[in-house]
Amino acid sequence: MTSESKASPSRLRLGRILRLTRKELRETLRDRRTVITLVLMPLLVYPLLSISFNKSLLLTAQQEQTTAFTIGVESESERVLLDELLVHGSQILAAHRAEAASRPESEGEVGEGEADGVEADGVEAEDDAAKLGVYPALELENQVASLELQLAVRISTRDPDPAGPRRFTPVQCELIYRENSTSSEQALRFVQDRLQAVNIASLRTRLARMGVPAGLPAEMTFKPVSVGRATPFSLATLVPLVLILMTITGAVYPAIDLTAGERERGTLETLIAAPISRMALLIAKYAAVLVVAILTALVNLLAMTVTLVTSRIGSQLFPDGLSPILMAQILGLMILFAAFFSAIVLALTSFARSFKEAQAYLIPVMLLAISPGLLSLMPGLELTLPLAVAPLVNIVLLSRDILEGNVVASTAVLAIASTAAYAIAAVGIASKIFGNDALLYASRGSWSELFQRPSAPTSAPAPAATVACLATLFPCYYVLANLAQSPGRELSNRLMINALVTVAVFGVWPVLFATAQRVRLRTGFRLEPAPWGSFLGAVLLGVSLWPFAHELFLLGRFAGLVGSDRQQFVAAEELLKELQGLPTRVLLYYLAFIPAVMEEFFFRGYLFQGLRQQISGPKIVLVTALLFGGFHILSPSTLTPERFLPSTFLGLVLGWVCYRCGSVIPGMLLHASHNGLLLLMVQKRDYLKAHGWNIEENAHLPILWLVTAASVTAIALLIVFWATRPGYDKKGGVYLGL
Amino acid sequence: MISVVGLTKHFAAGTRKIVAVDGLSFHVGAGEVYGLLGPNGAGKTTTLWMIMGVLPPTSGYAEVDGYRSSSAPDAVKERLGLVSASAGVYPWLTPRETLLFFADLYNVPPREALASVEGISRTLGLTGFLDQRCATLSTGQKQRVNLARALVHNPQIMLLDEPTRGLDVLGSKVIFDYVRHLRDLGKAVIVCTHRLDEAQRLCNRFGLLHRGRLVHEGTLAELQQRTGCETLTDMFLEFIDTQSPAGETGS
Repeated sequence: MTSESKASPSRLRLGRILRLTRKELRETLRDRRTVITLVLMPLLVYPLLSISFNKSLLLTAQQEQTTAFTIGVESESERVLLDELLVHGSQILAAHRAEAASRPESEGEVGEGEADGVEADGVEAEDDAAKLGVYPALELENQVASLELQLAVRISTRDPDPAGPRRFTPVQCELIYRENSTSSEQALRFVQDRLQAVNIASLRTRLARMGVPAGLPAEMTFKPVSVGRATPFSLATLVPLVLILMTITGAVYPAIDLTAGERERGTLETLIAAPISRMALLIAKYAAVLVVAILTALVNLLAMTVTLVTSRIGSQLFPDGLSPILMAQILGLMILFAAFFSAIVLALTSFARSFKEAQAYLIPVMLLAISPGLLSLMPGLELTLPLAVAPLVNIVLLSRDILEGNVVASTAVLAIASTAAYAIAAVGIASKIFGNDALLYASRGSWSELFQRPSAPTSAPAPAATVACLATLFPCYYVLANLAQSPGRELSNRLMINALVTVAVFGVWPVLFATAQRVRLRTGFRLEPAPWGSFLGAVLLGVSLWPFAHELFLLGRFAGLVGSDRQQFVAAEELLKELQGLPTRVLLYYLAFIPAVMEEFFFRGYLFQGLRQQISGPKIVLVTALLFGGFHILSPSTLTPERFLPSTFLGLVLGWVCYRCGSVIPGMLLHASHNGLLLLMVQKRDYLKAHGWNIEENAHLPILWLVTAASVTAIALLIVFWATRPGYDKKGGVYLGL
Repeated sequence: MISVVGLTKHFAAGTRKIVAVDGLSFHVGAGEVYGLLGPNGAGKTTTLWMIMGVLPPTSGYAEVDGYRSSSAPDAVKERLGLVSASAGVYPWLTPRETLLFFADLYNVPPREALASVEGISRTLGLTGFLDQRCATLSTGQKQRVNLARALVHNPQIMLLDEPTRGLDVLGSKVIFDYVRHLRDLGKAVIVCTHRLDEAQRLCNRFGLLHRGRLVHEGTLAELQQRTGCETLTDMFLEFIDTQSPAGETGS
């Protein structure tokens, strides 16, 4: 009797999942290690953190009292004048203080000076607290905005009214400061107090000379001008970050125990042998991990609230108080984050065959999770649209905004929705991985293959070796590129060193991995022949893609993907000027040819071939393009997120060409053509401008240019497609002998 | 009760193809103990996982009580009990909680599950530690919990994968008694082991696996008559000798 029709019904029933969850929770909560993470850690961590916070606040207050102000003016004559006025003002204030001190104290009596408003408004800074400097007139506002100057003073003199009774030169001072910046506002008060003192003293003297009673307004006026609100570093931002990190620690142990632990104990195979779907098992495990993570969040929030209230630090961090509604909102976000992170952790640990392996997977993830969290502490970082979909950062920033009462509904909704979507996707991935056949029976794909030298040469890198090479390559590049930065060197030398770094990182490093793994270089790096037509298509693509890359660059900026600050912009402008003076062949060799060949050698060569064993062609194109885009965000000593979209777009086209051709060589040509054309446009900018080809960095291109580029791109894609159609004659392909 | 027809399984390891099971066919009836024998890596465990419907075969099929493993895996799993040497226990659960949990997984109604746990506990001597956490049990006690777990849903077919691996004489005796008990209950049993001497004492019929292929099958008497060898070990060694190219065997 063959009974295909008698298949059992679906086992995804709520009652059963609840019973499974209860068993998982019983098992987890009986484990002392879980209880330690859940209860003891918060009890220890928050009192310790409150001590550190108190110390930090004390230190900040002390620093603010002793810090000298830097005040900028436009010219040397203004510096001398302001210096004289401040010294004079300080002397007047000191005299008033001395006079007030010598007067017998009398409650309710108001001193003469105070009545005139001469007394300093709480600023007891030393006379040498202000350092005056001369700065370019156009830079004053920017310098104050970036807090490199605490205050800028712009002095203008008005001609005296010849018809009037007075014969002195009126002076108008524009005091440029930054709102909400303690140091800037202190500097403002410091200067205001002294100028006011000089004003009143001078006025009184003049009026006395003229026999006019005091009370007329001063002629010397000053006007504070704000250049925007500062967003100083707030310790309150640390609160959500700490809560999130503690929630992470709560989810980690149960996730490992319920997945990798099952396999290590040998209970997984008995579970898989039972008539229950893996999805039901996974949902129960997810629910158990989530419950523990939520409990952890709850205990942490409670412990934190009690610590904040009892240590009085809460009133310093949150002047408006910690209301129950505020705490409920934070708890809601913690629950959402717990749902997201539990799914991520479960997906990762489902991959692992043992506790040890699971820990090896999770430690990098924990570190990765901390990095965006710390990034979110940066002063001035707003929850923009791109950051609203950035995992972890979005929740930390949203929690901060809730605590500060600055929530923007649209970004808040996007942050919540994207986190929920990530959680659902991660559960889906985990259910596919959990109990996977390969994990149950085979040893393939293990990290052990990284250290095994195959007995015979192979055609492709092992997946583990590929991932290891990728993981080490990025930090290597970042460190070496930073070391190679030396502003004192000549440009051609700097370019040569950068090229050497590129060759070492993207060429030598993967070749070392490939050699250790006995991977044939020709197949392992896809240095295969390709049809003639693909080279023609590649060159056409190389010269026609830049308008789209430019528009994507602008789109990224519009969406808030902006990393460059003014200093970087100035440095880039200087570099562009230097590039214009460089011989074209040197420019093209170092900045177009070498990066193009080396990046293709790694991204579409080694990485592409290594991933082929694990994922399908279109997915490899996407993954390598995203990594390629991610790599281009990294610049020495800064981040350039605006390069992500154009680089990823270029990576997609390069990946597709490589996929179609089965070779990395046409992509090298495409990449070099693209780089070369852009560099030539930069170098010949003035020439192009003179001939009506004005390409502004922040302006859209003419529609005609875009239409032309789209036409050429379409023709180029068709040529590549046609040249690599199934059954094309590979013998006719060209092999460059690389 | 169990029919295996042309069962084949290939694994991909990088660019290589590994043939784990190659065209396997045999039948096991009620009250029969079938020994699926062979050295490590012969394909015994892979065969069991395909019979259970956990691993999809590359070709061929297995049927359990009329249900095809590949198309009705849950129905097949409900009828099977698995005992594996590598199976562990949940350290923070008691044997009673473990058995009731598995009874629930196998859709046994709660009242029946309680009765079943009591009955099996008496048969396998679990009553003294039924409410003690498994982490505190000895190796032998854990082994008995695992035997009980495989029986809690009263399956008609039992699959035993290397059941005596790592056990001492007393532990192995518990297994032998267990298999006899199953046979007396009229269950169809497949025992996978590389211990040919043990298998000879336990099983009615044998299938000798080598590199995924069934090289001999029959009762002990049939195999002795066919090969001229007295023991299963001798039969297997002689087969290896005839299959290996000159120079590969010997010292």
